[in-house]
Amino acid sequence: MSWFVLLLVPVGAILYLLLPLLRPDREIWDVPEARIESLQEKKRMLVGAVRDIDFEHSIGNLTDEDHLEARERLKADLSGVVVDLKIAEETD
Amino acid sequence: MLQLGSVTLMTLCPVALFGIIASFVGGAKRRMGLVRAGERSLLVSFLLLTLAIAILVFQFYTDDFNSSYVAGHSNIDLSPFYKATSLWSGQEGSLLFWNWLLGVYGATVLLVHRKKNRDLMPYVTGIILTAILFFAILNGIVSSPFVPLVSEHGGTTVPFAPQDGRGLNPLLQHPAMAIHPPMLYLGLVGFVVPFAFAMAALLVRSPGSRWIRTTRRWTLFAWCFLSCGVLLGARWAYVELGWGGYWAWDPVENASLMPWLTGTAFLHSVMIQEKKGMMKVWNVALVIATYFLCLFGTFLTRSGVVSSVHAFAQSPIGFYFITFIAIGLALSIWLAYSRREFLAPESGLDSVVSRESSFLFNNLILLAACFAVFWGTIFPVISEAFRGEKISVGPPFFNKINIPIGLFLLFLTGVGPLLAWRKTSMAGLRRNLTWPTAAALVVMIVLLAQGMREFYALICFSLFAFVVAGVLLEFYRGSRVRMSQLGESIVLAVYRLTAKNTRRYGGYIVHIGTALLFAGIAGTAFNSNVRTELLEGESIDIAGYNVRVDHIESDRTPNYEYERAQITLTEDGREIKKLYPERRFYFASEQASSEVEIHTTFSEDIYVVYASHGPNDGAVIQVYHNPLVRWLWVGGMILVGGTIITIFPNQKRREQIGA
Repeated sequence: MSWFVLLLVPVGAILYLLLPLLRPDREIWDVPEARIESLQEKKRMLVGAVRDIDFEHSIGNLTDEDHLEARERLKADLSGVVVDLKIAEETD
Repeated sequence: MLQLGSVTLMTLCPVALFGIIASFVGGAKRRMGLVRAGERSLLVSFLLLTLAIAILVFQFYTDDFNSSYVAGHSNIDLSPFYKATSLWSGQEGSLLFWNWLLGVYGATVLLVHRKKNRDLMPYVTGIILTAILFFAILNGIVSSPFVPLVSEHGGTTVPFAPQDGRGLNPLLQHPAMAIHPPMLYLGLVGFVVPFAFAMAALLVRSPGSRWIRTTRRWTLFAWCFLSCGVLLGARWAYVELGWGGYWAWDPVENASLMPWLTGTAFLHSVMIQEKKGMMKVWNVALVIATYFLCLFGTFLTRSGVVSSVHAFAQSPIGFYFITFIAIGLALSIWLAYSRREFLAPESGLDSVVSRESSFLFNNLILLAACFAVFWGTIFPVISEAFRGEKISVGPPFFNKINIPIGLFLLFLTGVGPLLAWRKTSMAGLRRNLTWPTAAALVVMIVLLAQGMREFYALICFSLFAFVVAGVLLEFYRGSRVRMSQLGESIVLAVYRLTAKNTRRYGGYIVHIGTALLFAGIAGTAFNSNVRTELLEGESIDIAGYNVRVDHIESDRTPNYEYERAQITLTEDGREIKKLYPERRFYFASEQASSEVEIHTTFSEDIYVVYASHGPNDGAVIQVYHNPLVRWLWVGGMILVGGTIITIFPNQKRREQIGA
């Protein structure tokens, strides 16, 4: 095996790896703020839960009474989270 | 070629090490140049591993017996198909193959997620590169597939290339064995993705379920392949090993089952975190356990610490594995502990009678099963450490513990989908459980009336009916609404119902597959077998079948010589099938193997083994009657099919994307 071919593998790899370090750092990324991420998560969860119980009710797995009770509770929780999220986003 | 292979693997180590440092430092300091260099390291690692694999495959196809690995695992007359599979038939090649799959996963994850999860990706890259570096060290230093074969002449070693290789182990020359290892490896290696994202989320103090949502499909993908791998391994054991069964609780089988059990628990418990923000610590613990159990299984297979029919010979890599596992596990646990404030639950359990509660029980049961398997598997090691002798617990221990656990799990498989999230009222419970319970009772009464008295089998078949009835009820209720409101036909309604909620209804299909698997396993309660020497024209009876030896012959091929019996299988005097079981002796590897013949119906298997040449010049034939084995394979296929459905996005989402 020619030495040239054997050297090509490590040298080529090193050059390719080091290239980004020669360029100036321009890109930065946004890190989501932990509290906002947590509230967004909660909101997504509650919206999903409302959708779930609506579906369960529509196919007959939840009685009208259970559905109504659960929906009211979830809606109240959701309103609270939406308000908290708005405040957190404004103060961020 | 050997030199190029070695240089490739030696280059991989510094590339991966550089990538790890660049990724972690780049992530912590938010330096994009370093992050990009880390990403490039991962891509270069993948390319180097691909080159190494290509070199090894090339050596197999060109019969380059100058390579110790090729000479030890192939021969000139080996078919081209098995020359490709020889790649992973030995320790060195299988480690390289494992690492290449890590590279495939790493490069794919990087290309798919680097824009969406900018903050997590440097750490994900660093963690995957750490795994790659570990395997690269093993392959480059401890267990290289690119070692030349040498012979000693007067105290000096000179390169040596034999005329022919030692050949592939005959037991591995089977189609199931050709695809079983890649499937299994795709599963075991694939769990690195959720693990890496979980650790990355902890490192950046991301409190939510973003890592779970991001890796849901990766986890399902890995679980699906792991399921396929486990099932194909069982299938291979059944049709190739010739002992009439498919699962012997061998340490290597257990090694693949343990991460499957914790992976299954993880797939269920992540839903609770997504839906209710609960069990965050539990999910992190499960993903850590699953990932390290995948590595632990590899350690068991390769270290030689436990005896197994298909473990590799004892080798020094066991020490490296256990060190890597110990350090990795300690760091992961420390990280989870140090970030515990971000893992606090966002809500509590509303009611014990709820779907999340059933998932919680399902998790506990799966972990209990995993612990029982773990304990039984490592018991020989523990007994040797404390009493000085290896004591194996054997199948009776595993069966005694796991049968009741499995039945409870089957019960939960049926109950879970019938309970609502958060809370199920008594009225809802009555409404949802009535039909499945009735189905279970009917099956139990019918089986009792037919004389079945095996307790566990009776319970299992009743629970099978319970699960299937529950799932069918769910499909019926969902499709009924579509039929009445949208005027769809039953077929279209079921299709659209599933397509619009692939996770839910795909999951139900997985449950049907699981129930079939359990029923197939319950069939073993009625297994029987007979072994005798038969001369030409003689026959034996088993389970209503007559097995007659018509003719015994022997011959040879370039690869092996064989003895074969021509057998006629009849039922009630009617010929069913001709069977040709044979016993082979492979020249290159100097190993014997049995080629079994199986007559399969949906209700039972007649499994015929040519055990040996008899003392009276007849054929020693062993015949097994195995009921319901096909249910197992069909159940497995349904399970895999259901999992594939759950991986697909909901049709509604696709429509939205299209709009």
